Amino acid sequence: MPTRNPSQLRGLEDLEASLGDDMLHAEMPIETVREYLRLAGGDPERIRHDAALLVDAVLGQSGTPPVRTARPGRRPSRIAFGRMNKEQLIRHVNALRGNPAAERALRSRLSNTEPEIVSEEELRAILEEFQNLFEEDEDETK
Amino acid sequence: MAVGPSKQPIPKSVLAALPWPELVERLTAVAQFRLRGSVDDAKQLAMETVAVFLDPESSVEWDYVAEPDVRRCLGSILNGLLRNFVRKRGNLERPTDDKDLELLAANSDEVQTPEEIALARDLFDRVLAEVAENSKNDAVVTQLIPLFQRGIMEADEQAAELGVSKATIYEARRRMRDRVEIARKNLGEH
Repeated sequence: MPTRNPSQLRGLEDLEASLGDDMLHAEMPIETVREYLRLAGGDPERIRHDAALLVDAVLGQSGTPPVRTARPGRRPSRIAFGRMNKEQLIRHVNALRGNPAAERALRSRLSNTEPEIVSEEELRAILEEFQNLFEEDEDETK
Repeated sequence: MAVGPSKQPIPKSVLAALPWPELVERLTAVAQFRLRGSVDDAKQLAMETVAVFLDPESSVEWDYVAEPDVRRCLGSILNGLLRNFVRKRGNLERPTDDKDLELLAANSDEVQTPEEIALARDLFDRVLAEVAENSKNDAVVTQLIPLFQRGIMEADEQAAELGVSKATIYEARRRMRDRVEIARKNLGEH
């Protein structure tokens, strides 16, 4: 965050934005960041694991996008890589496979789901259907 | 995906080589500090930052040639998501009727009233006063406080002002961050 004229300071918000951003910088040792996350109740290993799954899925290096189970008392689980709506899901899965037929199938399948958030059960069914479709395509090309 | 210089696609090899797990850890920590809420929310926002960056229809630009470090770009996406998240959370906490919703729709920009600005500055001063009180034996943090009050926020600039290494500044800022959190809690702010 660049220097601000004191009269432009938004107070604590600017201070905390600046101090918080430090944890993004290479100069802040990653162990310090992990210790902060642990103290806040987080699990750095789990975060690393989920991040690797997300990036692998989107960059097309492994299989299906990850899902997670909701913790007790929380609303039904969302896709692990954020509050993703149908359009984003379609784009990501399509980018993963580059398969127009799968996209059409997914669009059709998703037309019956809740408007925005896709539940874990629905997502599993969608991914299973998508996976089958992809395998069928692979068989046809052999 | 984000686009590179001249809006050209970024090679997959460049994207795949980035240290994503560590970046997401760092983004989560930033979000956690800013939200002071659940780590799950912070992690979701960090993952969403990456999802936005890697979205095939993303309009984000990252000049990986001129600025190979992707952190500033990701930090900018995260800041936008944080602002939206906090605004939505604030809106949910307020009772809304049709008029409120119309006002919210008409005023999407964050405009603070003079009263809100005065309250924010008062909280800023009180937090810094407590941090100063708790940093009497910490020479670097004691010197950092007036720099923040003057609006000098960058670690580089602070290191130059105080004539110390950046590593010393970052370590002092880490101690200061902890004390800001404590001061907030002591003042009943969450």
